[in-house]
Amino acid sequence: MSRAVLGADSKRAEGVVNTTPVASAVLGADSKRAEGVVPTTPVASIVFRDVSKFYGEVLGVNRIDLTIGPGITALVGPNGSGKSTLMNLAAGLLRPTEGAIEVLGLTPDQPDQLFRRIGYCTQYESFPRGMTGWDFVHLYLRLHGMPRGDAERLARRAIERVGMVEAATRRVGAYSKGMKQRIKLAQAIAHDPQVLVLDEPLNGLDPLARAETVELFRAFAAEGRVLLVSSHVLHEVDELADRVVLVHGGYVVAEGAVEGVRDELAAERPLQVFVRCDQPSLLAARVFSEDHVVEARLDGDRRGLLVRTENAERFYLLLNRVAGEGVVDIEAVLPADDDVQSVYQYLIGAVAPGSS
Amino acid sequence: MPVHDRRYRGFTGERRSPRGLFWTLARYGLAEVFSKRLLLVLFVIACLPVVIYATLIYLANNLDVLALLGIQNADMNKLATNLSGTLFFWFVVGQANLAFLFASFAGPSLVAPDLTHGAMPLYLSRPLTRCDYILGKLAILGTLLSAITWVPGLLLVGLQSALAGGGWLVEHARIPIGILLGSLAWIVLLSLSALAISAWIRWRPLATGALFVIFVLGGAFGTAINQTLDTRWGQLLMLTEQMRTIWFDLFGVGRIFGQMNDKGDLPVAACWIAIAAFSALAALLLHRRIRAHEVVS
Repeated sequence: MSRAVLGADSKRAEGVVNTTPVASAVLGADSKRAEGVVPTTPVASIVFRDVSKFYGEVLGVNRIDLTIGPGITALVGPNGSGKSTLMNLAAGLLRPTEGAIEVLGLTPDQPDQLFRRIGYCTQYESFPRGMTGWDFVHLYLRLHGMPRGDAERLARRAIERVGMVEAATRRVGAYSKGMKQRIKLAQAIAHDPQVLVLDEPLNGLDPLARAETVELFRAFAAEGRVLLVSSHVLHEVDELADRVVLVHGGYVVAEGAVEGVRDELAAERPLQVFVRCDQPSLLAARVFSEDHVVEARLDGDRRGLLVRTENAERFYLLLNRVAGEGVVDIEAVLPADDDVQSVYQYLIGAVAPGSS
Repeated sequence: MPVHDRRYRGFTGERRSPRGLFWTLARYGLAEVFSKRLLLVLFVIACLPVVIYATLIYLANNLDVLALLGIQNADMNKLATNLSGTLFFWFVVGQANLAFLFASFAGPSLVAPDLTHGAMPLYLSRPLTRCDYILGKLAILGTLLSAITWVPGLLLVGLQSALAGGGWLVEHARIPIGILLGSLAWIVLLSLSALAISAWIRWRPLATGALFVIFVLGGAFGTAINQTLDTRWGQLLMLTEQMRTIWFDLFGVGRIFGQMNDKGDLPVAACWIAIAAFSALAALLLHRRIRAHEVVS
């Protein structure tokens, strides 16, 4: 399986080890996410160097070269693809069979330093029995060596940040799934880590809590923190991440900004763009004169045109020209397959995880 | 907020040394143990003999108090002249049995719930190693069982020494050593066994049963082996017998009750080695189970 390593640096696609920091990802295509805040850590934050992990005979991940910088990076892949193994490796909970991992320049051999800077949230319901939400967050802060006063202050702040103040004195066992996710998140952020490794953090959240949590992640990213988030719900990733890493069968099959990943695939899988306009036939005639357009199909209601192009940039320039001429009245331009779900399907050739 | 103020700033306060973090785990564990009524009652029951022994020691050293009350008791007179290793040996044996009872109920709930609830990755994503985790759990049982065995034992020795005065302690120096070493060996064996069982058997009643099987039915197996093979080495399976041999030796009281078989007891050194080997095996089993992730098979 070939690996598409994508983004501005095309050398990566030729199998060159990716060493380029991706700090720019925070301010990438969607500048709203960063809101004018420049990430403070210019260096790569999590680095995998030729990392393999085998569980006996079973492959976890194989020969991973990956560099993750500040901002939100999403790990996407079906169950058993190696996402959790990568998360556990990044969090220092697993040692690689081969290769090396560094997080903020620290190796797992320096757990005292490393774990102070990492916040980890499992995908499972991980709660010692019988604890209240407050105890849960407070205990784990104390296990970081925080003095009692600091632990109480930080626990209060984390619980406030995830909106669990009222429920904090209740036992975790009585929480809903969404509340459990939030209190887990509170323990992950409570000690103010610079790197957050969050395994399926949006699972079980209702839409409102999900939106609030996504906002929280963006706020963390805007502070220059590194968020490594796994998910199998692709539209969630589209909305959330600055950068995606697609994992399949223990291999990283693509990485980069979603738009960049899609562009790299354009030669094999022309980009589909839906144009809503008043004269789709006329527009079709115009676009067919361009060599990068491979297909143009009229929409059923004759108010739109679906175009497949190998060069999105040239196509958008053409559209600008057509619009400028005033012959065709263009109402909307909608990319039809530059989301993670389509990319995933094109790369892996399977039904995307979490898609319905 | 100005842009330059919004960047990441981590916690800059002081932190305790990671070496002592296991005590945090132990403190939370102790609080949980005492939140259970059954364990609290068991603990109080286990402390009652201390009061009885303290009263006995006081009366044995103050026979005039009994006389004032008009009580003439020959046994007390006998006890007063025999406040030696035997009394403390029986104290240790009695408390060891109560410690076993307490550990068999408290131990199984110390590790299994963490494994069942998947709490291990969160514990171990702190500056807390697997050994620290085990040490923290061990400290819970260690503290509780110490409070039942050697701590009150040494207090009783202190009481007797204070009441008897004049070199009693010097004359009976092996008693406090026996109490301390004998109790610690039992506590380590018991705690590691209980935690290992808790790590491998998640259903608490079954784990408690397993502890009884190892410590009680193990004796029956050992006896069967001794009789079938006409040997004494079956005692290697009899952990309680080995401990008794060690206590006899530590207190220098000789075997008070009958031999296990006519070939005699195992050498004391063999008993120490067997207890150490069994404890090491339990520690190894426990360590294998404490992982931050599930191993795919």
